[in-house]
Amino acid sequence: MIAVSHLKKTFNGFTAVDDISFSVREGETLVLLGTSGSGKTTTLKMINRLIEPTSGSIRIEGEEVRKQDPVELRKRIGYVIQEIGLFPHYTVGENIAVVPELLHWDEPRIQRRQRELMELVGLSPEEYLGRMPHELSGGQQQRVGLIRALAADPPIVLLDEPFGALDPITRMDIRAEFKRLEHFLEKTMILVTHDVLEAFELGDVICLMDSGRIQQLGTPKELLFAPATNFVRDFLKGTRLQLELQTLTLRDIAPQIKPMDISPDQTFEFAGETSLYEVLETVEHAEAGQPAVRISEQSTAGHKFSPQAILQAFYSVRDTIEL
Amino acid sequence: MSPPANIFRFLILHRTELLGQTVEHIGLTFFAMTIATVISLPVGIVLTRHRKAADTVIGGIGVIQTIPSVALLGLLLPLFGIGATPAIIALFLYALLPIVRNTYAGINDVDNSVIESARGMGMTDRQILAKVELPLALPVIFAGIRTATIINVGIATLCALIGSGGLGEFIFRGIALNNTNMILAGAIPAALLALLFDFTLGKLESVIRQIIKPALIGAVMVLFIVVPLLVIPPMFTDTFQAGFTAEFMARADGYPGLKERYGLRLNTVEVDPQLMYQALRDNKVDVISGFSTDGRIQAYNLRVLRDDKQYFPPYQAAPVVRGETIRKYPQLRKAFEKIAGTISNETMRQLNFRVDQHQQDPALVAENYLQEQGFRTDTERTGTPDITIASKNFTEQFILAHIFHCLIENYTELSAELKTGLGGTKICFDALIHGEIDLYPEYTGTGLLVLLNTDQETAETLMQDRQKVYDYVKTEFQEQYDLVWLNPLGFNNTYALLMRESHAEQLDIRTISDLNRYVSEQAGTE
Repeated sequence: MIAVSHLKKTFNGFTAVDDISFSVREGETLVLLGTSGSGKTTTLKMINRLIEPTSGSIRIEGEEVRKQDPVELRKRIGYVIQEIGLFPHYTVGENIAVVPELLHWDEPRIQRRQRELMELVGLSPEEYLGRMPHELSGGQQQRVGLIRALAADPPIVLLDEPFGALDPITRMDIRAEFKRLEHFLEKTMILVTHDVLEAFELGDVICLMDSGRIQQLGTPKELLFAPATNFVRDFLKGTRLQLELQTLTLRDIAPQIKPMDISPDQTFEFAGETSLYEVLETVEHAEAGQPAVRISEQSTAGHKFSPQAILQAFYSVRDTIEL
Repeated sequence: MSPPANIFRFLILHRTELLGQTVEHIGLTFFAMTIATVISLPVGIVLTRHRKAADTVIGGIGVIQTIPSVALLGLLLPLFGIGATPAIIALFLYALLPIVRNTYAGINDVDNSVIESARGMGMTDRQILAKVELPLALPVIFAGIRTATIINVGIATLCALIGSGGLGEFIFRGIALNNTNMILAGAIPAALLALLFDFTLGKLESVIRQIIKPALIGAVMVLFIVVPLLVIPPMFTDTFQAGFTAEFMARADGYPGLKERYGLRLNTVEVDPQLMYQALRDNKVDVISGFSTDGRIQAYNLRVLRDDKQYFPPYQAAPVVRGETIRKYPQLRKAFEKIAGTISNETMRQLNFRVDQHQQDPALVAENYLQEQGFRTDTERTGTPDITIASKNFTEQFILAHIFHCLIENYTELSAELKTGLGGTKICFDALIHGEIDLYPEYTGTGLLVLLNTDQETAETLMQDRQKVYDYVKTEFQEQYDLVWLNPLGFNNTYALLMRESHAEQLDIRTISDLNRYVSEQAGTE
């Protein structure tokens, strides 16, 4: 879907982005992760030509973007930024309608789309479509920013620190909401963030950058269990345990778990691809007594596992995992 | 009668003239503002796209703003003549800075993230300008237009000095004639106009903000361009044109009496006294109300039309001193006695000529003249001055003030300071009465008709005889104001109608009656 190769950008002799190559398949989410100044935002903005590359190529569905009219290109790519950038003189509804109007949609179609998208993020169209952006809370504004990018149903969405300006609670809520949105699930997305947890939560592929260069390009598991450089290892150090619990699933450790021999007071059932983090979180909130976990999969033959056994299996798997 | 009632009566009495001036005033401001807005907006917008040039351009426009308005009018006069054209150009120039700067700042201040998201969504530069930048910058841009408008309503009063009409006519005539009601009759409507314009623009802004439709903005633009064309009165004429000062236009012994005595009907415009001679020389007007001792008569090769019906009253120049001052320093009388009756019309005209044509310093001209006459001319005294000498703001008065200065410091033990260039008869006279100055040169005719407001009957019995006028003025000033007229200096600087020598020769005009005949014939043929 998107193929970037040997991309380079220099500003007055300073190399901001140096020889970046990656590709994103349709429906996949690639996260550009790095500290500020790592070149991740510059890379993102070259894709919709807000910044022109010094050299290298960017292809979308095989077509070089530098040969396309930037205005037409951008109408087919959703764009969300940290500052949201809602038009302060437009109502919420008018903000959502910007791109459809640029594309000359007819009025009824635009109205249908406005209502559909508002309901998607849980904002009542009757109540909010006519409001001005400054009358909304930060979280509501960011929700509007997200659905504005989806308004014309673009196949590709670029997101630059989309949750960066929100407080931690709102941020978690919207991120969870965002993950569940089918409309986003089917998109091909490139998301820029400096937040490691966010990157691991949302990314199918993570491109970790430093000083304009790629340190490692791979799945979350690859970054965690097969770090390419010391930089990658150090970058993940602080959040390693949580990342591992988030990344490994029940299925990954199932062969290693010892089944329970006593009967539990309460049983929780999870799909095989549920992260260990989610499992342990849920079980921890169990009422009194001994909880147990069952995996809704044939291979484990209906065995029940205690949380302690799951943790034991996790520790042994993470030291021996082979990718 | 109480002052407000007086103003009210004045306004009723002059309502036609007031209405005309108001319409002219609106026309000038509106027209200039429209051109300024139509030009400044795009300039401001272009500058946001070329930020490196912005500082230079805005700085350059700022320089215009620092030119004093009267100076700018003076610079424009030789290029554009008198009337509405130079006035509109001046107003236009003064309106540039606020509009350009606010447009530039307003657009620059639009949140970068909003622009970035607009561009990221696929808006073209033009769409971003029309749908995002201009609407968001609108309040700031309008603030600039409103500032410029208020400044322009004020400056437009000054444009009366170059014959463009407007409410300034009443104001300057009022200052010249010592008539407070007349000043207020110009100043109050001007202030109200400024408020009205500001209010209307505020309304217009909220209307535009509510319905931002290109069509509406277009309609407003058309309105702005069409209305002034209808409002601007026929200020541009090429017939025989008279340029008279505000004072001459209004004084009983000026144009009104002249019309009556000769039956003269001229096409007149009001012109600043300093700019009038230049306007005549440069063919911008054909006849002006000058003074018989003006140096520029010689310098510009002008002809004084003979007052064959002896209409203009005598204007003998003499120092007028506060009674209090002369009692404290009686030695002043003796000093001034030395030059009493010694300066002839011809001499005064030559002294004026040296300043007006040869650009010599009036102080130097005064000193040279006194030295030629064998007087001492040291003026080096220091310390707190005993005497303050003032003058009105034209050449002859500057020279006389310096002559007085030399006399006092050399032929009494007193020291003197100068306050030259006060803006007109009323200002000098008020300053004298209130003791802010001790003396200044005044003319008997002015004293009789302007300062004493002598009724017409009395004035007419006196006016044929210069001695009678002097005696009357001297007595009345002593009694009414405790001011003392010292002996006349000798020359008689009366009003005179002046034409270009070549033009007068060509039309064979020597006297005011000749002029009257010529103008009547012209009117007849039209």
